[in-house]
Amino acid sequence: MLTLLLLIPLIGIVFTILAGRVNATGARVAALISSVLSLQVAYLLAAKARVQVVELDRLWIPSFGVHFALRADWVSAVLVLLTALLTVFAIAVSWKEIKERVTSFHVWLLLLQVGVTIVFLARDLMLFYLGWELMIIPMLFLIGSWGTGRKEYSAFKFVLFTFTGSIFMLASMLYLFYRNIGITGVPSFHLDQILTVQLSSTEQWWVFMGFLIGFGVKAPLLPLHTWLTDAYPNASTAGSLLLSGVLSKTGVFGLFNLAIPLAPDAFALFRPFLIWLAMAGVFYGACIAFNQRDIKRLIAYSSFSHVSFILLGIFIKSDLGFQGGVLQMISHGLSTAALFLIAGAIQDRLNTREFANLGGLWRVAPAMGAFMLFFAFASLGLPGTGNFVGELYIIASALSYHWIIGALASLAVLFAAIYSLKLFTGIFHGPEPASLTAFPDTDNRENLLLTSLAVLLILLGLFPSLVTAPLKNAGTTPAATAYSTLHQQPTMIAMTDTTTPAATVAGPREEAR
Amino acid sequence: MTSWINVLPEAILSVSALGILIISTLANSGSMRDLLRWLSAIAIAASAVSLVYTSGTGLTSYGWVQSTSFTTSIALVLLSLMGFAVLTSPVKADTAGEWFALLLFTALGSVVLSRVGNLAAVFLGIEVLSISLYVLVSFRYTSRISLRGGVTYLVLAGVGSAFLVFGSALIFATYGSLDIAELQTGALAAPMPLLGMFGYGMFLVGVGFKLAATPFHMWAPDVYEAAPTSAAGVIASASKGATVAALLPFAFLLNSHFLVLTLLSGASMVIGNLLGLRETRVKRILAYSSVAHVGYLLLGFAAIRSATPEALPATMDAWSAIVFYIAVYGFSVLGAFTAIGALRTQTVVSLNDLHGLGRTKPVTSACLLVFVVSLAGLPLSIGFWGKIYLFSAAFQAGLIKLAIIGLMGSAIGLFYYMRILVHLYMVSPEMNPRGEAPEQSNFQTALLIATAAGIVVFSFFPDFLYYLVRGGQ
Repeated sequence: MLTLLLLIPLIGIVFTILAGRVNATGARVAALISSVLSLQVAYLLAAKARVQVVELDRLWIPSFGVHFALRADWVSAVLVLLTALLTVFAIAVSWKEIKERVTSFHVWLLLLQVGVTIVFLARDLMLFYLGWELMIIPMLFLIGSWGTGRKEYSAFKFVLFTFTGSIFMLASMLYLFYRNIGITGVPSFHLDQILTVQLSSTEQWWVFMGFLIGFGVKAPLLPLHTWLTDAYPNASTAGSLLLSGVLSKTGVFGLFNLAIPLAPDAFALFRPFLIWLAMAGVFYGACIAFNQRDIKRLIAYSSFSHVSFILLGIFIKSDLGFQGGVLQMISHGLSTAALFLIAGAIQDRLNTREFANLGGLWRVAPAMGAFMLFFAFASLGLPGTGNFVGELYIIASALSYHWIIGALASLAVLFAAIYSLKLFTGIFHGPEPASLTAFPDTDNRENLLLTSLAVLLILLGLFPSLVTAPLKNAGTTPAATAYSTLHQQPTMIAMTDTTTPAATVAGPREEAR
Repeated sequence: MTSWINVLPEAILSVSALGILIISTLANSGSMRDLLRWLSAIAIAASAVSLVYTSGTGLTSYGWVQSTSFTTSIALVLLSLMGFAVLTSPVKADTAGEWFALLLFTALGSVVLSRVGNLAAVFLGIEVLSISLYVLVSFRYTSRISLRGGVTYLVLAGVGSAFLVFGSALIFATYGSLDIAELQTGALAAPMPLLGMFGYGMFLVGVGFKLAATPFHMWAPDVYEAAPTSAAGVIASASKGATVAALLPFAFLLNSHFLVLTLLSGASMVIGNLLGLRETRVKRILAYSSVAHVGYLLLGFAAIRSATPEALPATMDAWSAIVFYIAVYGFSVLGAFTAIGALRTQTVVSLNDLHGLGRTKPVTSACLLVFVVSLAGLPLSIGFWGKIYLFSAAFQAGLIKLAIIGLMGSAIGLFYYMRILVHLYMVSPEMNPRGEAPEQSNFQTALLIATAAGIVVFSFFPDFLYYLVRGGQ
């Protein structure tokens, strides 16, 4: 089932190329069928992972100890489900928007899905890295070829930031790999094996920094967010949707799935600092979002603010914070996807995203306005939506960490309200600008997409235990449990062998003496 | 036993090169060109077969040739690169004879260098290689750019040769021998005297010039740009690989000249990648990229921690990482040059000339995409594994700082590789200044596609490629 999740998009790519030779609609249909099939399989996987962990492990590259090891615990399965769902949405959103080079657009989209799925499922560091890098090239094209505005520049910036970050991550991974060889003498990138390596606190410091930079760029964490300003707004709608909905989650996922378990002491050391950084990101993002004149830029910064909020929940490292974080990851993925979808729809109709050229659209497009109202409220944490429960959990965990953090986190919700309302009123209230031309309301396709997103959000809001219940069960989320109870874990292997790999290899220098 | 049979691979190449010169005088047509192309390919194949059959005889031919299965592996890699160049390089019918003869002489130099037994063989190999390349660079002798490039190369490589010879002389003065085995014993037995230090230093400068390692890299961009595109590919791939191969027996220098070698490596990785950033002409970009790649190869060289093996080890270490990288990098860069040559005929190709080709020539562009991604060392291309093996060898040898410099360098380098892709794919074809695309035979296109496909497919099975490089043992 795990392999099937990777195979379906790959086979889908072949069919998309073949169908694309007939006509553009063929390519769209082929890609859509493939993504719906993946969604089906992802759903089955999630249903299975709810009960028990699904695993697969094959030795892939023996000389280097790389395993084709996939594992779906509940968190991974839910995120894979989110990925599959948003891929379907991305294809549906682009149905009319993308008119040029339709085939290659969908090929990149499906390839991106493969990369993200690998990242969420990989149980092997090298496989994880491959998936991580596999996300870069498709995204380069999704932004650079089908974006708007300074698209090449934005695509470039995105690639440079992500790749540079991932180089640090790779250095950390290689270091862990060689520490493991130094201890066991067997090359292995398998995470279960790497997790047994006990590092000194200095080593953990460096390893954690490497991972933090790599994942922090993608999430993004406060000082590493500058690529987002260009990439989110200038990507095509599908690109923005996947960037904020899925790709930002890979950074968060990497942090709690790899960085924190692999270097727990370093994390404990950095934690207060990281919590403040995330807190600062929440307010910084919110303030800048309010000042934007461009819809998509506003949504981009609001997304940055929300992801910082998720990171806050993760960094607090309590069960409640983690549950809130995961719930918020899903809800934010859905709500921000909807917001980008509406922004894309407006841009498609009017060819502008500036608040100055917008206003009073409620009169001509009440349905779109209603959707916008709902999702703007959802993103500010309207009770009854998943976002509310997620934020509530995170605020509660923040309060239990320190009252100041808790108070600030509550205040952040207010900030979210301000820019969310600006987003809505700026577009749908006020006088109509003179330049406004005919503006059709949402069509059936858009109604269907937005309604299903709204239903999912309400479902999550009313039944948050759909996501959080299995998180409490150690049988389905060992990774999460390991993460949240790290401080209680006894030392697994006493470190006796402190020789570095270099010293054990006899060199010509020794021979010379 | 010393017997002529041990130098059969070299003999086949030189005899067939001369033979091709003679045959080419008979006629002057397109079919003649194809005949010569195939004859050259057959000569290279025959040389490869004879390499395999004479492999493992050890030090032969008065100590000039070191034939172990290790050197055979390298020589086979280089020959396959030359074979690719012979089969894909576009050439006019009236100059086909010279062209293929020169390529065969280049192959000869590469084979000599890959299995050197003494310092004289190093000099001989490097000269055979360089002199053929001088001519290949200025092959379009009616073009000023081409001539200037050839002269630049001649002068600077000449300086390099002077360093090499003088260094060798000083080494001989110190140890009284040119045999690498004796030099190694001498160098490891006692601390190196000043004269020897100096001699080897000059030797390394000479090799540095040939490799275009920083700070001896200045000639590279001019020469690469001036050379016919496929000749530039040969300089970047086989010639570079052969020179590194000639350096391999001198691993004992890591005792005395470790600092020099790490500085050369670090400087090449940083400077090569930085200088490429502001460049707007594709072949110059690839030239700087090749400077950086020499840095990576030298990083692998500096990570060597064991005596020269008789055969490539079954597991990855510094030795195998270098040979693997020569193969991987060689095919990527040669493929990139070939693809550029197949997209544009003119000598100077600027990034603007690539505009929109992703749409007008999708197949060749897709191949170029794969080669560039492989040079950048991104996953899903074999270049990724090449880099991983090199860097992990460096990590394992404790060269952590140098390896991190290399990683950072490749992150910087990504910028200019991406620029090629951006110009290739993200600008509409209307922006393209008129440039003629050369006609391309189906066979050459097929070879290009096969190589690109190999780069992708082998990235899933790097062990299998290594198995092939080891000669299937």
